[in-house]
Amino acid sequence: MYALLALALHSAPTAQAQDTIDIGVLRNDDIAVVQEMLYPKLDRTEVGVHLGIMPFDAYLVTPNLQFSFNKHMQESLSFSLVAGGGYGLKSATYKELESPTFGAAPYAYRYLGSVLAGVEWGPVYAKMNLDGAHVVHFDVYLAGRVGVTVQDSVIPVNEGSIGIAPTVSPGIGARFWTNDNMTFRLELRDDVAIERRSITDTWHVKQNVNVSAGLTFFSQKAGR
Amino acid sequence: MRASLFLVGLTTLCTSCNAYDLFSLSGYQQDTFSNRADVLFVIDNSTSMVEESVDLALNFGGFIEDLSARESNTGRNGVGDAVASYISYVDDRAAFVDYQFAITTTDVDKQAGAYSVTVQRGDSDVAETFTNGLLCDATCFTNPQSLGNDPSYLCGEPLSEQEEVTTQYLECVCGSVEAWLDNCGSAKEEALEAVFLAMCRAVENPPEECFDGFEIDGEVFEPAFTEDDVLSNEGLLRDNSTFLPVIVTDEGDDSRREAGQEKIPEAYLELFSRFRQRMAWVVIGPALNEDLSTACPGPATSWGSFRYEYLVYDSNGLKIDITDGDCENTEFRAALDSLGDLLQNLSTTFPLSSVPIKETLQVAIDDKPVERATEEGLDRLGLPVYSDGWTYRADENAVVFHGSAIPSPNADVRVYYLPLDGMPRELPF
Repeated sequence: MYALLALALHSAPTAQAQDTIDIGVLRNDDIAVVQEMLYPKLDRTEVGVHLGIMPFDAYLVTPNLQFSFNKHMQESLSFSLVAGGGYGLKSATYKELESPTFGAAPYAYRYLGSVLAGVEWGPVYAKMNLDGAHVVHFDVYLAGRVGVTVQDSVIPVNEGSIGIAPTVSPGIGARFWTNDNMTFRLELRDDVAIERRSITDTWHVKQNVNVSAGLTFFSQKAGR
Repeated sequence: MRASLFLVGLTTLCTSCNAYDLFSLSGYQQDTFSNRADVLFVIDNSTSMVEESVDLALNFGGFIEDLSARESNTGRNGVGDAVASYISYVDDRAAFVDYQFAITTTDVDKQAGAYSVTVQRGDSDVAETFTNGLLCDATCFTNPQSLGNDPSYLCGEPLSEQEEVTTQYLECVCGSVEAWLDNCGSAKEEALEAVFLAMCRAVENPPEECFDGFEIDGEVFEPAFTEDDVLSNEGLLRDNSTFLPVIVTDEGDDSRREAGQEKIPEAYLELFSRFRQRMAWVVIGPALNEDLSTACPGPATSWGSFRYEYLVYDSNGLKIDITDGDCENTEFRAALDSLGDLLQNLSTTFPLSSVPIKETLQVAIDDKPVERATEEGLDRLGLPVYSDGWTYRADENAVVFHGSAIPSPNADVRVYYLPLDGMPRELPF
């Protein structure tokens, strides 16, 4: 055993000192200290486009497109305007109900569009190390918006097919910065609409829960 | 803490369900559309009707050609033509009315609703068989001298190539003179009774009224239908077909089960309903004036003619005056064209499976909503006239279309409603 070890050490190459290489002088402004780097939002305008889907309704699945506008009045508070449109498609369950086996049709209203305005409050700003190589900046915000939702009866109706429903929309979302001016944004919101159903002449609360993902673009930092 | 509460609330909202009323849906699509039409011509074979019967026979060939025109545009050679024909059939079933024609007469004492001839779509000689049956068995020729004479006629030459019915033609297709001469019926035209008895003969379990004798206005009538007659008209009424009695007469109805001069044939409406057969009445009959008097001189009674008009109205059928404004015979070709149109647009009444809350009824054709029709007044019979659209008929529990709202056979018709008794079954969702 000791003989083998002695043989191995004897045959190992000897380390040789090499010439040093000058790679230049590191100046102070070349040093980016991750801990101090932030993507500020204050006084900046943010516009975005988002693809969404409302997947939680048993009878309707609604792909949609949303446009957002934010004016960041504070680092953690912004005015938010979201407008979008989509079309509620009958789900497989709805189609099965319509079949001769069941002969039924849920009196549902499909989402056509909405305009919502309110505030976003984002007290959380954080960085996340991804794979030991990348640092992702993100924030988490809560949204509270009000507005109107335009809906259409799935059952063809002569009068009152289109309904405009007052809507309250709480939501939660997150921005992931890709650079100083652009973020990838995820949001889950619940449009709680007060709708009138014309055939039965009744009022109901309808929830359009929307999951969306999109890109937003920030204006240049003011005076920096 | 506040954020946590908000998240819990949001999660609860997301996982809760939207509540929807479940409407009952009666859908009528191509795959459920029946294009079967069982047509029974009820011919008045009294002496006054010879000219009209001959006109009908002379024009029937063209009618069949028109009815089959679109179908005949597809070839019949090989699989390719068969596929093309099938695709045409699926695309436009109106062009493929699955018709059958039968003939009986208004003479109940002699014929009692038994049909003398029956032909179906697909038979090689529909028009010829029909017209021969009409001329040989259901037309009252009393004087051979009144018919045309064409010694050059050769047996086998079709009637459609003749300008008139000749004795030579009748002798060829009917046989001896005895076969076609003096086939005259009673002067008492009982079209409704004839139709009722024809239906009795067509079903396996006829209503008991078929077998009953009865007394009306002191007159006793023995049963005209016995156990031996059951299914003697087998095949006349097919499953899921529309039954079209086509009455060709110059007089009003004088059927025995209606007392006196009843205008509305309530007794027969009740009897016909026993068969649970979709019916559409077609009458080529006496014209009525606005005041409901008969428009032309002759033996027709206004009350008897009114019965026909009522049946046509009640069944969304077709009424064609047998005379024009000058009291001359109507153009039978045009009358038959109208019948062809009706055959291709039979679906005006759509029954519902449950009794609806009327206010919740919604009707759509091809996903487009159809307006509820409004009553726009009364016609000369005192019956409502509706605008284009649909109405609900409580007595049939059905939606009935009017005017231009009548859907084409290829249309996807859907009727939505909340059932009065709730949804008839538990849904698995």
